[in-house]
Amino acid sequence: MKKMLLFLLIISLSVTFTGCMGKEVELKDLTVVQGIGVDKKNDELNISIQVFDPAKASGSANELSGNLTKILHSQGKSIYEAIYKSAAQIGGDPFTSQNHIIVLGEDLVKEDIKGLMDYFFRNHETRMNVTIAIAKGEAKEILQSDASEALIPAEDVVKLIQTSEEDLIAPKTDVLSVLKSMKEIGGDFYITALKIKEEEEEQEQGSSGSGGKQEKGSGEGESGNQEKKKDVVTDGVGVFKENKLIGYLDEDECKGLLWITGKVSGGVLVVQTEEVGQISTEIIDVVPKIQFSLENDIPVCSVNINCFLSADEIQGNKEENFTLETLDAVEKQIGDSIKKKIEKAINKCVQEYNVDIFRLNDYFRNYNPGLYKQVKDNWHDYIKTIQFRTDISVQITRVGEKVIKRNNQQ
Amino acid sequence: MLIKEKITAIQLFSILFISRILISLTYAPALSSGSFSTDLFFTVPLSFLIMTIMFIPMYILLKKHSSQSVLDCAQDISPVFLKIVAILFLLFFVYNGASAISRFTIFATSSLQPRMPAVTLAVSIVLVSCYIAWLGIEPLGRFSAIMVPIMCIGVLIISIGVLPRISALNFEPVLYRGPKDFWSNVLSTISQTVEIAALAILAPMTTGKIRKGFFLWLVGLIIFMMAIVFSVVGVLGNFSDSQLFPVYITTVLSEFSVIKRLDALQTAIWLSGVIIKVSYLCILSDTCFSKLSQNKKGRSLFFPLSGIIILILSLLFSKDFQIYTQVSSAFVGIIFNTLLILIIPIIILICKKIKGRRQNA
Repeated sequence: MKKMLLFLLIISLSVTFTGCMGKEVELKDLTVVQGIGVDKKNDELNISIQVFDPAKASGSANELSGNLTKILHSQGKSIYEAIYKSAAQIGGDPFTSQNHIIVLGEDLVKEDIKGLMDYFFRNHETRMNVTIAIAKGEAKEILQSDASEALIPAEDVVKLIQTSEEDLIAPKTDVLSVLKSMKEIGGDFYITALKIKEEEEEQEQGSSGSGGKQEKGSGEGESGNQEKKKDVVTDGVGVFKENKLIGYLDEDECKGLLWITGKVSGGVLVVQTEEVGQISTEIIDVVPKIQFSLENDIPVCSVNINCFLSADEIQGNKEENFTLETLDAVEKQIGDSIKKKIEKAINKCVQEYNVDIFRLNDYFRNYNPGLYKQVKDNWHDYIKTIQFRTDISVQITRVGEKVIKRNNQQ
Repeated sequence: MLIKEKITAIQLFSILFISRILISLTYAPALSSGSFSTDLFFTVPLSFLIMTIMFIPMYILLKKHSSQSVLDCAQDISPVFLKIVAILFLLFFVYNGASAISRFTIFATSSLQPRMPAVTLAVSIVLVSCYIAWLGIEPLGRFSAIMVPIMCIGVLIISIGVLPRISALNFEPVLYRGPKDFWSNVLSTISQTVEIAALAILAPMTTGKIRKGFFLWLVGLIIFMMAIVFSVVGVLGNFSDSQLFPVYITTVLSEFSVIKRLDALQTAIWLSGVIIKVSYLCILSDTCFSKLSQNKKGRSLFFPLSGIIILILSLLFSKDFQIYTQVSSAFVGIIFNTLLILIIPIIILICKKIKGRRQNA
């Protein structure tokens, strides 16, 4: 009897307590959102969502190739409404838990985006570790680019941004970092910028192209058998003040931003030095330290970075000059190169844009909470008075597998 | 039912450990009077120090009458006093049980799926809890002893997963938000601790060293809560104030290597914790009911009644945020805790002393 009851219990539990609780729909009936693009059009939000297309993924694992997604567009007064409208086009419930990226159009971010971000903050399906980017142009172009022959192009764009950060090109930003900055600093933050890079490529006769081609931009079919391939690339970061886009940081300034914010943990530094020519080094370790002090009531911010490198490649005809005696000079030149980028980023952000995207307020709050409470309301004015001192210490701790000589050994 | 059953000190403190960490894991600053800030590194140990001091009269009482619970001691003084004490304990237990379920249903319908039927969820939890209560304290103790390491490993995994996101900048200086916020956190921690009151009834059913177990429980709780505070404050900073369930949001962000979506793990820990908590609160409520009804039989069956009361209250509490915010205010918990773990034991000790003197005279 007991066994029978147990058996019935297991059967009833397995039938009633299945997965996807609450949705009560099959996976094929869900519109699984992989990427969201938001643009502004006629006072309405123009949403483009990249959704997983189960029809394209119906083959075996070996047969899967090309884009498994399709793009849906719709308009609405809010993101939530527009996403529902988009999903309704293919008759499915939108499911945004698997979303990889949110791209905001340039026109949209020139206005206050605090209200816009509320959906990504409040909705139970969205996740705060989703990558966020702005498009130099329209967000829909980013989503429907030929990013690659990836199965999920949105995922590929996220990987691109991740790699950009690792390669010291541009920092990656996620929803959480933006929302935190909106709350903490009152609207000073940065978001990775993406743009479309058009490249002409030979079109093979009779090639069918990957899925989702019908959605692609106007580049197709131009100039005979050549077509313009639209690739997504990172292009600096957009700087926001009071939740509005006020400008961009270029690649060098982005590098400075990465150094200051402690986001550098690896990557390659290529520096042209007088002594040995062009030297490529790998970053082994970075120890950043930002400290505040007051000197005659003037706030001083010391940016100290200890960087440990491994020399991996020396190009040019001065390689023989790379000796223990010239090492210090090479290290100094690499340090100066980093310093320049940091100072460039500080000047652009603090002096030109008058924003605090480095979280200086938090450093200052921890240094002097009492004074911070006094100056908090006028923080933007206060940061202009800060004197920055940058001290970069570079040590080449490894020189590869080639022996480094002393001058007198030559 | 309970008088005959005995559990070990490890099992007892395993139940109480899960019961208390559940509060920390499900802490909702917006629904209570505290906040997630660096102050918690100091307020948590301070709160437990205060509770340990408050526990001294009860400890003396339990040591003097090791085979008796606070209810038995109250019975020795007068039947009326017993009824008052039993009702107060009963109210506190059903209130905490209802609070635990309503918090879970609010979480499930806010963060998991708004369309999830809260009533079905609450009924399911109460049914399972009543079944465990019917099995008795012994199986619950064994189950809890197994669950403690599983939960600790789960939380450890989640904490490791958020380590790369922790930033020193998110830790505000201590007392940055002022003494009011600091003391609110102290009161909030004390008010949400039902376990010491539970100990007043469970202690006589326990074999082993309670004092040693109590201190291990305290140390374990402080370490566990510090790990949670470190993870949440380190990742979210003061942004946690705007989150309904900051610990859950932190676990959403937790990932390492191919292991992602660890929020599922936290939800599982939460649900099993709620079931354990409601089960033992049903058992304790059942004991209070037995005393009130003067049931002298070995086995009472009041736990379904406790379950029904907990269910009704939980549905009432979780109906909307306003109600829950009011009933879960620190004030209610502080009043109950002060009465149950400080004032009542002192009254009993004084009355017993007077009674003893009279008898000697």
